[in-house]
Amino acid sequence: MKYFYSILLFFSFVIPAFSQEKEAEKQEAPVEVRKIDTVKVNYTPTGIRLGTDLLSIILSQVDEKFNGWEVNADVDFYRYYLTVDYGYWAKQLVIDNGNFENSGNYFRVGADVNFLLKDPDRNMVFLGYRYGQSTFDQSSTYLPNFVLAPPNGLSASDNNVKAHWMELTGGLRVKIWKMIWVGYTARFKFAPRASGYSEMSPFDIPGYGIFEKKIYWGFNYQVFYRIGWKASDQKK
Amino acid sequence: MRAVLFILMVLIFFGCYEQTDCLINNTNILKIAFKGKTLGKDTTVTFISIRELKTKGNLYTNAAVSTVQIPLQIRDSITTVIFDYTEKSKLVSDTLIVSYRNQTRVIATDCGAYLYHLDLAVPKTNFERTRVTSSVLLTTVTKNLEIFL
Repeated sequence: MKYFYSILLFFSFVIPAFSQEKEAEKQEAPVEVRKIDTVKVNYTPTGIRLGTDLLSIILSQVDEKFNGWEVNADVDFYRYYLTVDYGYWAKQLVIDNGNFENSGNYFRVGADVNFLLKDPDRNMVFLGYRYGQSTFDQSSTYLPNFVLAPPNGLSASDNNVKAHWMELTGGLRVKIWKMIWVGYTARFKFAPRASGYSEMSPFDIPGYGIFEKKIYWGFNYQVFYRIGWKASDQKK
Repeated sequence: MRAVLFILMVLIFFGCYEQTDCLINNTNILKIAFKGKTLGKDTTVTFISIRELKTKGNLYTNAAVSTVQIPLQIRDSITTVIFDYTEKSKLVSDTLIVSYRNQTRVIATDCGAYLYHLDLAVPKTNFERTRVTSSVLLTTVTKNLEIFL
């Protein structure tokens, strides 16, 4: 049942986006509609879009338990976008019988399929796939629940723990001004695997979340700056 | 359309609301059962004493038992237990060394962190035969090790 909710949640992000696309197509007059050459498709990249996740930046300021950032990049190949994300994530959590800390870097690489082909502003409604990998350190100090446990508690730590997972993504990119796009990416994360740990089983994986949850949700609110190769792209 | 959106919002809420159960079943108690050497059936042995090398005092004294529970050293990866008993009117002192791997698991922030002992093994012993029946120490496990006497 929880998978049903998760899948429904994923599509609930994407379906409204498609609805907006249709409504936009109805309302907007064909001011500058590019004619698509259906015979020959040009896969040559026209630019790179560089961005960052605003939620990570805001959360790092307002939540003392979290510190992180994430940068994103995508390059277009016709309707397909090669995407790369790189980020840092550190948490300091108070748990019921002690504390937990982790910190590490992660990257995601994958592809998006844009469903807004005719849009002159290169707006996007997309679905995609990512492979994510994280390398991180983790530690915990806590009071064990055993009789005759040491009074100063126990501590455990592991360095260079590796984890990887997969994601289905969906979201929007909307041009707001000249070379600036904003948008969101909803992430349906699944199949986490971890290795390289001995003292501690992974709890929170940077870039993924709670390891015990084999399905996890993520959300980024991003701002992008696009650098186009063509002179016409740069003038817009 | 609004009704559909409302239903979606409700489903999203329940989809996200997934509270972790605090299922805590770790223990540092090693459960040993004694078996007959020939038939392999449960057997009762009278021990003069059972003691753990690092712990002061005896865990059992003059006890006729078919099972014993031994607390493991949670900071170490081995625990040594000495069993004193009489066999054919002779005083026998057998040593059992068990090894294990300690692993901390944070269940959830609300549940806390817990130490689990995994990969139980018997690297060295005077007993003729032992058998690990469950290599993870859990409260739900009734027996970790069998010693054949």
